[in-house]
Amino acid sequence: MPRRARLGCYLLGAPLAVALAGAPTPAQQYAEGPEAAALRVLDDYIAAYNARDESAFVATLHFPHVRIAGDRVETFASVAEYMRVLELKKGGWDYSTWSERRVVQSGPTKVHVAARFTRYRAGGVPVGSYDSLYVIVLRNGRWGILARSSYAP
Amino acid sequence: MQRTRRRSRTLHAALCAVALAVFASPLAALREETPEHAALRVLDEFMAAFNARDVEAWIATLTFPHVRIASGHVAVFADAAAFRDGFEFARFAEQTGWSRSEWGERRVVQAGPEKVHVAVVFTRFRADGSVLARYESLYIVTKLDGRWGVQARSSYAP
Repeated sequence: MPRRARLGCYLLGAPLAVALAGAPTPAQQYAEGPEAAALRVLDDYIAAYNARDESAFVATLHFPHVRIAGDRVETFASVAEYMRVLELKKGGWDYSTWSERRVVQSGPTKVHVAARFTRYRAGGVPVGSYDSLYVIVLRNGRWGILARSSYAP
Repeated sequence: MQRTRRRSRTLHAALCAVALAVFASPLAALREETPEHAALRVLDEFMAAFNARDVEAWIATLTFPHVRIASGHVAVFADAAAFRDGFEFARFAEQTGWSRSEWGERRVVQAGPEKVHVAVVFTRFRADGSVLARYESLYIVTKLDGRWGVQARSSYAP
Protein backbone atom coordinates (compact mmCIF):
# COMPACT_ATOMS: atom_id res chain seq x y z
CA MET A 1 0.00 0.00 0.00
CA PRO A 2 1.42 3.39 -0.91
CA ARG A 3 2.49 5.53 2.03
CA ARG A 4 -0.12 8.21 1.33
CA ALA A 5 -2.96 5.62 1.24
CA ARG A 6 -1.75 4.04 4.51
CA LEU A 7 -1.74 7.47 6.15
CA GLY A 8 -5.29 8.01 4.90
CA CYS A 9 -6.37 4.72 6.47
CA TYR A 10 -4.87 5.73 9.80
CA LEU A 11 -6.48 9.17 9.68
CA LEU A 12 -9.93 7.78 8.89
CA GLY A 13 -9.68 4.58 10.89
CA ALA A 14 -8.41 6.01 14.17
CA PRO A 15 -11.44 8.23 14.91
CA LEU A 16 -13.77 5.40 13.86
CA ALA A 17 -12.03 2.99 16.23
CA VAL A 18 -12.23 5.54 19.07
CA ALA A 19 -15.92 6.13 18.37
CA LEU A 20 -16.67 2.41 18.34
CA ALA A 21 -14.68 1.85 21.52
CA GLY A 22 -16.59 4.68 23.19
CA ALA A 23 -20.03 3.31 22.40
CA PRO A 24 -20.83 0.49 24.82
CA THR A 25 -22.46 -2.60 23.45
CA PRO A 26 -25.60 -3.91 25.19
CA ALA A 27 -23.42 -6.56 26.87
CA GLN A 28 -21.13 -3.85 28.24
CA GLN A 29 -24.15 -1.91 29.47
CA TYR A 30 -25.44 -5.04 31.17
CA ALA A 31 -22.10 -5.43 32.92
CA GLU A 32 -22.36 -1.81 34.04
CA GLY A 33 -25.23 -2.65 36.36
CA PRO A 34 -28.99 -2.95 36.80
CA GLU A 35 -29.71 0.69 35.89
CA ALA A 36 -28.02 0.42 32.49
CA ALA A 37 -29.70 -2.92 31.84
CA ALA A 38 -33.11 -1.44 32.66
CA LEU A 39 -32.53 1.52 30.34
CA ARG A 40 -31.40 -0.83 27.57
CA VAL A 41 -34.67 -2.78 27.98
CA LEU A 42 -36.60 0.48 27.60
CA ASP A 43 -34.61 1.25 24.42
CA ASP A 44 -35.49 -2.18 23.03
CA TYR A 45 -39.14 -1.73 24.12
CA ILE A 46 -39.67 1.55 22.30
CA ALA A 47 -37.68 0.38 19.24
CA ALA A 48 -39.87 -2.73 18.98
CA TYR A 49 -42.99 -0.60 19.40
CA ASN A 50 -41.93 1.83 16.71
CA ALA A 51 -41.03 -1.06 14.39
CA ARG A 52 -44.49 -2.61 15.09
CA ASP A 53 -42.57 -5.80 15.87
CA GLU A 54 -44.88 -7.65 18.23
CA SER A 55 -42.48 -10.55 18.92
CA ALA A 56 -39.63 -8.17 19.75
CA PHE A 57 -42.04 -6.11 21.88
CA VAL A 58 -43.18 -9.00 24.08
CA ALA A 59 -39.54 -10.11 24.35
CA THR A 60 -38.92 -6.95 26.41
CA LEU A 61 -41.61 -7.93 28.94
CA HIS A 62 -41.90 -10.39 31.80
CA PHE A 63 -45.05 -12.32 32.60
CA PRO A 64 -47.39 -12.14 34.37
CA HIS A 65 -47.28 -8.58 33.05
CA VAL A 66 -49.24 -5.77 34.69
CA ARG A 67 -50.42 -2.62 32.91
CA ILE A 68 -52.10 0.20 34.84
CA ALA A 69 -53.60 2.91 32.64
CA GLY A 70 -56.74 4.98 32.69
CA ASP A 71 -58.83 3.49 35.46
CA ARG A 72 -57.90 -0.08 34.53
CA VAL A 73 -55.51 -2.67 35.87
CA GLU A 74 -54.77 -5.33 33.28
CA THR A 75 -52.85 -8.51 34.06
CA PHE A 76 -51.57 -10.73 31.29
CA ALA A 77 -50.60 -14.19 32.51
CA SER A 78 -48.53 -15.20 29.48
CA VAL A 79 -47.10 -14.09 26.13
CA ALA A 80 -49.90 -15.96 24.35
CA GLU A 81 -52.58 -14.12 26.34
CA TYR A 82 -50.95 -10.75 25.67
CA MET A 83 -50.48 -11.44 21.95
CA ARG A 84 -54.23 -11.97 21.62
CA VAL A 85 -54.93 -8.35 22.57
CA LEU A 86 -51.73 -6.63 21.42
CA GLU A 87 -52.26 -4.11 18.62
CA LEU A 88 -49.17 -1.99 18.04
CA LYS A 89 -50.67 -0.47 14.90
CA LYS A 90 -53.58 1.15 16.71
CA GLY A 91 -53.46 4.56 18.36
CA GLY A 92 -53.33 7.45 15.89
CA TRP A 93 -49.61 8.10 16.18
CA ASP A 94 -46.63 6.94 14.18
CA TYR A 95 -43.78 6.63 16.64
CA SER A 96 -42.68 7.50 20.17
CA THR A 97 -39.46 8.63 21.77
CA TRP A 98 -38.30 8.89 25.37
CA SER A 99 -38.25 12.52 26.46
CA GLU A 100 -36.92 11.73 29.92
CA ARG A 101 -35.88 8.66 31.89
CA ARG A 102 -34.93 8.71 35.53
CA VAL A 103 -33.98 5.73 37.70
CA VAL A 104 -36.00 6.20 40.89
CA GLN A 105 -34.93 3.12 42.84
CA SER A 106 -32.69 0.20 42.00
CA GLY A 107 -31.46 -3.08 43.36
CA PRO A 108 -29.59 -6.09 41.93
CA THR A 109 -32.76 -7.61 40.43
CA LYS A 110 -35.25 -4.73 40.17
CA VAL A 111 -35.20 -1.15 38.88
CA HIS A 112 -37.97 1.46 39.02
CA VAL A 113 -37.75 3.97 36.17
CA ALA A 114 -39.86 7.13 35.90
CA ALA A 115 -40.11 8.09 32.25
CA ARG A 116 -41.78 10.57 29.97
CA PHE A 117 -42.49 9.66 26.37
CA THR A 118 -43.73 11.69 23.43
CA ARG A 119 -45.92 10.34 20.64
CA TYR A 120 -45.50 11.75 17.13
CA ARG A 121 -47.53 11.66 13.96
CA ALA A 122 -45.72 10.80 10.72
CA GLY A 123 -43.70 13.87 9.81
CA GLY A 124 -42.62 14.52 13.37
CA VAL A 125 -45.66 16.38 14.70
CA PRO A 126 -45.99 15.66 18.43
CA VAL A 127 -49.34 14.24 19.54
CA GLY A 128 -48.75 14.27 23.29
CA SER A 129 -46.27 13.65 26.08
CA TYR A 130 -47.08 11.38 29.02
CA ASP A 131 -45.46 10.34 32.27
CA SER A 132 -45.08 6.64 32.93
CA LEU A 133 -43.42 4.34 35.41
CA TYR A 134 -41.74 1.00 34.73
CA VAL A 135 -40.91 -1.87 37.07
CA ILE A 136 -38.08 -3.76 35.39
CA VAL A 137 -36.84 -7.03 36.87
CA LEU A 138 -34.11 -9.58 36.28
CA ARG A 139 -35.64 -13.02 36.03
CA ASN A 140 -34.01 -16.18 34.66
CA GLY A 141 -30.99 -14.11 33.60
CA ARG A 142 -33.07 -11.66 31.53
CA TRP A 143 -34.13 -8.12 32.32
CA GLY A 144 -37.70 -7.30 31.31
CA ILE A 145 -40.62 -4.98 32.12
CA LEU A 146 -42.84 -6.65 34.71
CA ALA A 147 -45.24 -3.77 35.26
CA ARG A 148 -45.96 -0.29 33.93
CA SER A 149 -48.21 2.50 35.06
CA SER A 150 -48.92 5.16 32.49
CA TYR A 151 -50.69 8.52 32.46
CA ALA A 152 -51.45 8.09 28.75
CA PRO A 153 -55.11 7.65 27.82
CA MET B 1 -80.44 57.89 65.64
CA GLN B 2 -82.22 54.53 65.56
CA ARG B 3 -82.58 54.77 61.80
CA THR B 4 -78.82 55.40 61.44
CA ARG B 5 -78.07 52.35 63.59
CA ARG B 6 -80.41 50.19 61.51
CA ARG B 7 -78.80 51.47 58.33
CA SER B 8 -75.36 50.69 59.73
CA ARG B 9 -76.44 47.12 60.61
CA THR B 10 -77.83 46.59 57.12
CA LEU B 11 -74.62 47.89 55.59
CA HIS B 12 -72.57 45.63 57.89
CA ALA B 13 -74.63 42.57 56.92
CA ALA B 14 -74.28 43.41 53.23
CA LEU B 15 -70.51 43.77 53.57
CA CYS B 16 -70.32 40.41 55.36
CA ALA B 17 -72.31 38.76 52.56
CA VAL B 18 -70.03 40.26 49.91
CA ALA B 19 -66.93 39.19 51.87
CA LEU B 20 -68.26 35.64 52.17
CA ALA B 21 -69.03 35.48 48.45
CA VAL B 22 -65.58 36.82 47.53
CA PHE B 23 -63.48 34.73 49.93
CA ALA B 24 -65.48 31.54 50.49
CA SER B 25 -64.89 29.86 47.13
CA PRO B 26 -61.10 30.45 46.99
CA LEU B 27 -60.87 29.20 50.59
CA ALA B 28 -62.82 26.08 49.66
CA ALA B 29 -60.46 25.55 46.76
CA LEU B 30 -57.50 25.88 49.11
CA ARG B 31 -59.04 23.33 51.46
CA GLU B 32 -59.50 20.87 48.60
CA GLU B 33 -56.90 18.13 48.73
CA THR B 34 -54.36 17.97 45.91
CA PRO B 35 -53.62 14.51 44.44
CA GLU B 36 -50.17 14.57 46.09
CA HIS B 37 -51.66 15.33 49.52
CA ALA B 38 -54.37 12.71 49.05
CA ALA B 39 -51.78 10.07 48.16
CA LEU B 40 -49.61 10.88 51.18
CA ARG B 41 -52.66 10.87 53.45
CA VAL B 42 -53.59 7.41 52.15
CA LEU B 43 -50.05 6.22 52.89
CA ASP B 44 -50.36 7.57 56.45
CA GLU B 45 -53.61 5.64 56.88
CA PHE B 46 -52.06 2.56 55.25
CA MET B 47 -49.19 2.59 57.74
CA ALA B 48 -51.43 3.33 60.75
CA ALA B 49 -53.75 0.44 59.86
CA PHE B 50 -50.79 -1.89 59.27
CA ASN B 51 -49.26 -1.04 62.65
CA ALA B 52 -52.64 -1.43 64.36
CA ARG B 53 -52.91 -4.88 62.70
CA ASP B 54 -56.36 -3.75 61.56
CA VAL B 55 -57.06 -5.69 58.36
CA GLU B 56 -60.32 -3.92 57.57
CA ALA B 57 -58.80 -0.44 58.00
CA TRP B 58 -55.84 -1.59 55.90
CA ILE B 59 -58.15 -2.86 53.14
CA ALA B 60 -59.93 0.53 53.24
CA THR B 61 -56.68 2.17 52.08
CA LEU B 62 -56.41 -0.04 48.98
CA THR B 63 -58.10 -0.03 45.59
CA PHE B 64 -58.90 -3.27 43.80
CA PRO B 65 -57.69 -5.16 41.89
CA HIS B 66 -54.67 -4.63 44.12
CA VAL B 67 -51.21 -5.59 42.89
CA ARG B 68 -48.15 -6.40 45.01
CA ILE B 69 -44.77 -6.99 43.36
CA ALA B 70 -42.04 -8.36 45.60
CA SER B 71 -39.17 -10.81 45.20
CA GLY B 72 -39.89 -11.09 41.48
CA HIS B 73 -43.42 -12.32 42.11
CA VAL B 74 -46.64 -10.59 41.14
CA ALA B 75 -49.64 -11.06 43.42
CA VAL B 76 -52.97 -9.73 42.16
CA PHE B 77 -55.86 -9.53 44.63
CA ALA B 78 -59.12 -9.19 42.74
CA ASP B 79 -61.10 -7.90 45.72
CA ALA B 80 -61.08 -7.30 49.47
CA ALA B 81 -62.01 -10.91 50.22
CA ALA B 82 -59.02 -12.25 48.29
CA PHE B 83 -56.73 -9.81 50.08
CA ARG B 84 -58.18 -10.66 53.51
CA ASP B 85 -57.42 -14.36 52.92
CA GLY B 86 -53.88 -13.67 51.78
CA PHE B 87 -52.36 -12.02 54.84
CA GLU B 88 -52.07 -12.77 58.54
CA PHE B 89 -50.42 -10.20 60.82
CA ALA B 90 -49.61 -12.71 63.59
CA ARG B 91 -47.81 -15.06 61.18
CA PHE B 92 -45.93 -12.16 59.55
CA ALA B 93 -44.79 -10.88 62.97
CA GLU B 94 -43.76 -14.35 64.09
CA GLN B 95 -41.82 -15.13 60.91
CA THR B 96 -39.96 -11.83 60.67
CA GLY B 97 -39.77 -10.52 64.24
CA TRP B 98 -41.68 -7.42 63.10
CA SER B 99 -43.47 -5.20 65.59
CA ARG B 100 -44.19 -1.99 63.68
CA SER B 101 -43.12 0.01 60.61
CA GLU B 102 -42.48 3.65 59.83
CA TRP B 103 -42.09 5.71 56.66
CA GLY B 104 -38.54 6.97 56.41
CA GLU B 105 -38.88 8.95 53.20
CA ARG B 106 -41.70 9.65 50.77
CA ARG B 107 -41.15 11.33 47.45
CA VAL B 108 -43.82 12.03 44.84
CA VAL B 109 -42.27 10.96 41.55
CA GLN B 110 -45.14 11.64 39.15
CA ALA B 111 -48.64 12.96 39.76
CA GLY B 112 -51.86 13.49 37.84
CA PRO B 113 -55.47 14.23 38.81
CA GLU B 114 -56.26 10.56 39.47
CA LYS B 115 -52.91 8.82 39.95
CA VAL B 116 -49.77 9.49 41.98
CA HIS B 117 -46.51 7.53 41.97
CA VAL B 118 -44.70 7.73 45.31
CA ALA B 119 -41.20 6.39 46.00
CA VAL B 120 -40.80 5.51 49.66
CA VAL B 121 -38.37 4.08 52.16
CA PHE B 122 -39.82 2.28 55.14
CA THR B 123 -38.26 0.81 58.24
CA ARG B 124 -39.43 -2.25 60.14
CA PHE B 125 -38.82 -2.29 63.89
CA ARG B 126 -38.71 -5.07 66.49
CA ALA B 127 -40.77 -4.80 69.68
CA ASP B 128 -37.74 -3.44 71.58
CA GLY B 129 -37.48 -0.56 69.08
CA SER B 130 -34.40 -1.86 67.28
CA VAL B 131 -34.33 -1.69 63.49
CA LEU B 132 -35.23 -4.95 61.80
CA ALA B 133 -34.78 -3.82 58.19
CA ARG B 134 -35.12 -0.86 55.86
CA TYR B 135 -36.50 -1.17 52.32
CA GLU B 136 -37.32 0.95 49.31
CA SER B 137 -40.71 0.63 47.68
CA LEU B 138 -42.87 2.27 45.09
CA TYR B 139 -46.57 2.97 45.55
CA ILE B 140 -49.12 3.62 42.82
CA VAL B 141 -52.00 5.47 44.43
CA THR B 142 -55.14 5.96 42.36
CA LYS B 143 -58.51 7.63 42.69
CA LEU B 144 -61.28 5.17 41.83
CA ASP B 145 -64.96 6.02 42.24
CA GLY B 146 -64.04 9.20 44.13
CA ARG B 147 -61.80 7.45 46.65
CA TRP B 148 -57.98 7.43 46.80
CA GLY B 149 -56.27 4.11 47.55
CA VAL B 150 -53.09 2.14 46.97
CA GLN B 151 -53.60 0.29 43.70
CA ALA B 152 -50.17 -1.30 43.41
CA ARG B 153 -46.84 -1.45 45.19
CA SER B 154 -43.48 -2.75 44.16
CA SER B 155 -41.25 -3.42 47.12
CA TYR B 156 -37.61 -4.35 47.59
CA ALA B 157 -38.60 -6.19 50.77
CA PRO B 158 -38.63 -9.99 50.53
